[in-house]
Amino acid sequence: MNALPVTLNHRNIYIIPTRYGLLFIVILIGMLIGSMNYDNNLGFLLTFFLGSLTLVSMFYTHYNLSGLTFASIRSTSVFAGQKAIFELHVKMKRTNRYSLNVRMANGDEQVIHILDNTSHVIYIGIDTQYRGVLIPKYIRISTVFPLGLFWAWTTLEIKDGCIVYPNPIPTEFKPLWIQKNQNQKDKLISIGVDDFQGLKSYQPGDPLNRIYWKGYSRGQGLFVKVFDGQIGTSVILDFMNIPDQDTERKLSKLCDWVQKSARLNLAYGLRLPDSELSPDRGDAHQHKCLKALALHGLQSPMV
Amino acid sequence: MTFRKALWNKSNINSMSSTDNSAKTISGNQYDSSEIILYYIIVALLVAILPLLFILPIWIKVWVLVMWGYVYIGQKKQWRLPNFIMRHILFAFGMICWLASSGIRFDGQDYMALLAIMAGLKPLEIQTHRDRIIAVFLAYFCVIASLFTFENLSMTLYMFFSVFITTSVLIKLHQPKDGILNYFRLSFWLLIQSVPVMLISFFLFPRIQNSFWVTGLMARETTGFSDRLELGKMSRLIQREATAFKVKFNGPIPAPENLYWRGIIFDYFTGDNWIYENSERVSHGKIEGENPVDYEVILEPHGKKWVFALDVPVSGPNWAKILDDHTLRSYHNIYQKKRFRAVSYLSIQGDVFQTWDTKSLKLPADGNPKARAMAEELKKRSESPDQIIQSALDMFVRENFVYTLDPPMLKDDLIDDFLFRTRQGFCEHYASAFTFLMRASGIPSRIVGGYQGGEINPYDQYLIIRQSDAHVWVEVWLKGRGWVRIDPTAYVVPERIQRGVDAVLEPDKIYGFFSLRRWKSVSDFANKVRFAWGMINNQWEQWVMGYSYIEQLQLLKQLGIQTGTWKGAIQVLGLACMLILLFSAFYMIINQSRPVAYPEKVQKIYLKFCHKMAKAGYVKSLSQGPLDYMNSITTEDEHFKSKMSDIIDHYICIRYANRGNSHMLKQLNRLVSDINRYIPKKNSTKKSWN
Repeated sequence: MNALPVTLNHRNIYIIPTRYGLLFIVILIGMLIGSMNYDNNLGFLLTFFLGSLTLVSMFYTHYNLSGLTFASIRSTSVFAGQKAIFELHVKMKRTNRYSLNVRMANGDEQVIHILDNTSHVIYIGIDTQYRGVLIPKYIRISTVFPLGLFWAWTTLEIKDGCIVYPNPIPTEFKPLWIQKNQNQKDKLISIGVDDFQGLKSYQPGDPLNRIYWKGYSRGQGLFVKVFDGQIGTSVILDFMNIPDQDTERKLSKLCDWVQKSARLNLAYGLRLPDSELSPDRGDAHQHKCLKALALHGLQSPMV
Repeated sequence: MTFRKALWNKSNINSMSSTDNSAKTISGNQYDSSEIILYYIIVALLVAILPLLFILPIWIKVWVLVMWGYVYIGQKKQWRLPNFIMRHILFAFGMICWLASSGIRFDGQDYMALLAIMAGLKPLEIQTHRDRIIAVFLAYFCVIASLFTFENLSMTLYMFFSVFITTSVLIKLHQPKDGILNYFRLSFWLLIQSVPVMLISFFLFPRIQNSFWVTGLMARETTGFSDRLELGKMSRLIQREATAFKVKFNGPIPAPENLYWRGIIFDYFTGDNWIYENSERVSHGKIEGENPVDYEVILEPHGKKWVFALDVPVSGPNWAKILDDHTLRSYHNIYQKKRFRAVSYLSIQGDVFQTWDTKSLKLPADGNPKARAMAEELKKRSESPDQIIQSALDMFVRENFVYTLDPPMLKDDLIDDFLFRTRQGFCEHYASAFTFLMRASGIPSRIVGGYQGGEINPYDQYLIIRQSDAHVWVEVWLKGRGWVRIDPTAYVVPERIQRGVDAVLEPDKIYGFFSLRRWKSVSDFANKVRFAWGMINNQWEQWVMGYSYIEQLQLLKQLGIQTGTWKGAIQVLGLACMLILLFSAFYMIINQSRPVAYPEKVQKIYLKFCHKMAKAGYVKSLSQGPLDYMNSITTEDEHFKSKMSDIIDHYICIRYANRGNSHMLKQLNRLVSDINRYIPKKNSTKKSWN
């Protein structure tokens, strides 16, 4: 198991005969015995020729892996149930690598040929089921090229796993709205998002996703939908506020809320039993929240 | 074997292969979805089996071609492949045909036939990666099978060719997305790199003197003498161009009339045939003679125990004994090419041959009355055996006997019929008739079978003795002189002995239409080609085919290894391992240090370019990179401009883009070497003024 980055050489490439290789060797031994028995020099010649070919093909198989540098592996977070895609960055001094078999433990398998670039990205997927951090046991790079008589392989250790967010379960969006009072402390109110109050004319800076497109398409001008709860645009998504008993389901529903808040362009904070994130906007914040949900209650190290 | 039902259908084949779990890593959808691969496999099988097809019975040829033709055309026309049951029926049918045609004898050819039947069937059931691999292995196996059948240089070259093709296909199986030329190239390099280890193993692998078990397994069609001389049958032997053996003399080549290659004694006459009697008494007496001739023989396999040697052999190979009738006899049937040294005396002291047996006078109780009467008369008229012999020989000359390879059939009393009716025949007719007359008149005599003459290859002085040089002659026993060779054919057609059978008969009577020998007279060039090829063949046979236990001993001795001891054995093993390891290490080093970016080389060429440009007045300042430098040069000369940008492009590509290869480097070098021609002259003229 090799931690990245790693350059493949004779120390970390393993090579054994394939079963076809073994069969071929058995055939060669048979040929050798035949040649000895009949003292047939041409038989000897061919047997040694093929034996030598086997030996040389072993070097070729080794050579097909040797010199590859696996620089890094990276993945983008996904929701549970989706396929996690790992990007493996490869550099090499010389190209023309044929029939590299890339296989991820419990994951996908593919064959790639690298014929022109000296750097290459291998994408390899794995199905996810549960939230958390998915660290595949290994990635195995192997090859039987050129003759299929030998199998050379190496395994790469993956340290940075893929963060798998909980699978979002659609649920009614009822966060705690933060009401900005001038003197008092912020007050939290629970209102549904559906409490539609009316329209106001559009001003630059209004969130695009609340434009009343239907009216715009009818030629009524640009209006923005105003909701009752829209006293402020900040919400707190509270774990305790989810009407469910099961923690996992609660996390999934929170996940849905995070997505909805983001879609509504609200500034949202997350309150979990053991941690709290203050309201904010943006992709980075969303990832932070979803990650917090993904890792909630798990022993895994924070990544 | 896995039989599965499938259509000629891509998705179907793919789904099949994915069910084969073990082949998952290297087959299935990801790898190869094209049916083209089947064509490649058929080609590999065809190339591998082609030499065998020539010797196999016609029905096997048809079998193989029909099967492969069906697969080939079927792929295009989307025909259905035979299913599981159908394939088994075909297999059983093939087996029955095979058993019937082999007659449950099972010699080498039958195993070849079996191999061909299986090779014919295999493409019908190729669906998975495993099937393809097995088919390719089968092709390799066909190659070696054909080696056991043919043992000449052409076959060896063909072997390399078919291994090359088969290996290309094997590469194709593991690297489907590439051009066909690339498979050939890779295959070629693989094979070239295999040669060193092959040679090391070939020369150092311990050879043994005898087989582990009986070698009768590979019995094949024999060409050459059988143990009986049926009148009229030998002409078929004479019509064969095949080489019987080759001889290299350590010294001058004896005169043609002395080149009698002795092999078999036919002693017993049945009335129809002369039969070799298996009374193998080993010679004990010491033979003394004159004109020792030392030579080396490369004997082609003929499936019998005969060993042909120049008349009279006194020493031969250790795997053969010298019989008291002065023929050499191998202990085992000869199925492999044999190489040996022998010494013969051209003339020997007759006293040693005092013995003769009553069997040398024996004739059937009756038959051939006219010949017997003639013998009686000869005996009556003559005073000495010499005279009898002479008058019998005179009779052949006097009575207009004709030498022909195509004599009329003899009937009833064969000797009478020949002597008094047809009077047409060749050596065996003359020898038979003469021996009959001798025995009938009381002179011990016997027929000797072998070869006479031979053709000298002027390039390497090898004497080639072909089946067409097959000959029989007579020996008579004379008091005080022992066995004396008398060749009645020589009296009828002296040219036969002097210049060979070609001199006597029209070439197209002897050889087939396509034979090179037939065109001997047509052009001198063909003759030269034939001899040159013969020489290469001889060298090949001497150094590769003839390499055996004894040669290995000599080689090891020269390397300073004491054979026959444990120490020696370990030394040989150590040497072989060391050489192979050395090769491997060398190979690894080459692989590791293969230059990719060529930083120094490309830099050197670039500097040369800058130097040339500076000479012409375009000086590069230190701070300028290649692109800046190029842009700084203002010129109207489009040709010069394009050449310059070519160079800069190449340089950047190799130096910075890390994409260099040796080809690009060469091209860059060429461009830089040529640049002088394109640099405008104006600056240099200015320089000359200074």
